[in-house]
Amino acid sequence: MADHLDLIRDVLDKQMVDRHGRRCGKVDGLVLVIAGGQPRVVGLEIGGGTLARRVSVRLGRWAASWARRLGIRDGEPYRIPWTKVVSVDLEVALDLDARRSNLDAAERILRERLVGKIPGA
Amino acid sequence: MPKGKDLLDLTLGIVTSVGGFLEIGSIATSAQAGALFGYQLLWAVALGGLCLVFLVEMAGRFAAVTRHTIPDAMRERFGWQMFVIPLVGLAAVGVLVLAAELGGAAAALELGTGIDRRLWILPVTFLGWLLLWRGTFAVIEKGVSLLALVSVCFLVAATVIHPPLGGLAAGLVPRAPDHQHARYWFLAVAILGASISPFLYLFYSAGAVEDHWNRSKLGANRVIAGSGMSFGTVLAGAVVVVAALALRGVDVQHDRQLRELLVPAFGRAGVPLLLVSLGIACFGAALEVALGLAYLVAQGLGWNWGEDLRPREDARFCLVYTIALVVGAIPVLAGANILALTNVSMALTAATLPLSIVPFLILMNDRRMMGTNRNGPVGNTVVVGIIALAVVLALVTIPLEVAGG
Repeated sequence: MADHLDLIRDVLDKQMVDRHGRRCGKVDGLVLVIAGGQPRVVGLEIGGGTLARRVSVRLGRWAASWARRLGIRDGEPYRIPWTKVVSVDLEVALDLDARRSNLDAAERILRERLVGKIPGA
Repeated sequence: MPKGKDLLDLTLGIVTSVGGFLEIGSIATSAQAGALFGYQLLWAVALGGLCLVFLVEMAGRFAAVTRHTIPDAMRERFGWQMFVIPLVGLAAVGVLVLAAELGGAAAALELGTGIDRRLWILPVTFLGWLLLWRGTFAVIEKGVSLLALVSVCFLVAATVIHPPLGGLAAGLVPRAPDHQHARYWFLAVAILGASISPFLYLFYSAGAVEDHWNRSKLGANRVIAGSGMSFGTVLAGAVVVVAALALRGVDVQHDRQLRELLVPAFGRAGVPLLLVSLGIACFGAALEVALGLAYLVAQGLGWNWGEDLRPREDARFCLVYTIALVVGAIPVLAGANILALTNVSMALTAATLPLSIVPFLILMNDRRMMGTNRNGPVGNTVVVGIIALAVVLALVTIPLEVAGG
């Protein structure tokens, strides 16, 4: 990984791919912790609620309540610890399996409850 | 020397671009223009076509150089807060355009069978959905566009009736009309919106990425964009020419008035030929727009996407085109006038062009992304000039049209 990263330019809103090269969303948010006066990046945040909150706080609350009702991660954004980030290049490569993690919760719920039940899916 | 396979791909690329060109927007706006103003609005068809040639070439070049689709790159470069504006704008206008295309296909069926379009819209929408659900990208893009080649009959018709060449040339020079000024400029805007369809180049770029284009495709891209879009524009011009004869002086307000469009050229056979062309062109365009909407959302949000995947592999992608088709069928079910719907959606397309094209042009000029393949001054000037004209005309004429109509 490059020793210098511009978080907004190089990481935020980048395409993520999982261990199998499968597209699994974009980096919707970054999680920073301030410890001892120093900010430190601890992970990535993924979710419609995070995206909605970037447009407006009220829209974010509304999106989170809908996600809760639909049973998508209890309305919480999905957080990926920075330790799972393998490389940041054209894409952000992650050391995880999107289909087995909760990252793809919306996709999986839609597949199991609706799309997968339609003939030909 | 290009190999046989390359030559076949090239030909197929051109043929599908031509076949996919005519749709309810270009047919309806060109027919209205030809009927009321003769050849006087040919300049708008030509300008729109010129702009589209440049934009489609850029979309293909962008895909070949960066391997990114346009929505994907827009979000990465400008961030979500800015990307959400073209996303919402394009999606809203796209659903309106989809409604007009579905309506055009249903209207053609009604005019051919006498059965109400509000009944036809249901099987039309379902068949469209089924093709997207089960079909692959090749079936949608190549198959439907090849069928739509029947629209070449407009060019044959325009040749058969021997239009005066001097008159055609004069129509390529913009000038103020001698009557119905507001209508004239509004139709100019609608024609520009119909030609410069964002979904056409978004779809083209998604196809290039799905086909794994790289820099070796840059030459082929230039040929496909240049000849495919120019020939498509000639077809739209041919609609103006046939309408100028068949519907001379008629203020076209309803799609049933389009029935006679090909009669002076082909006699009684002209009616079924027109209905088949209209139906296939609109149906094909509806598929492209529905798929284009799904690409736009999926690429912007980074989902797994691809028309060649099974629906269970990209459930959210399928949900987007399904919702788009259902919502798009509603105006037709509610009995909307297809021509009015078309005019509104094409004029709104023109008015909202900068939302998607300004960020796209910035990407095309980005040295870091495009390197030596970035835009030159000619392409930038042509696109900015024509888009600026379209937007200024749209902002002036849409309020007038709303107030007057």
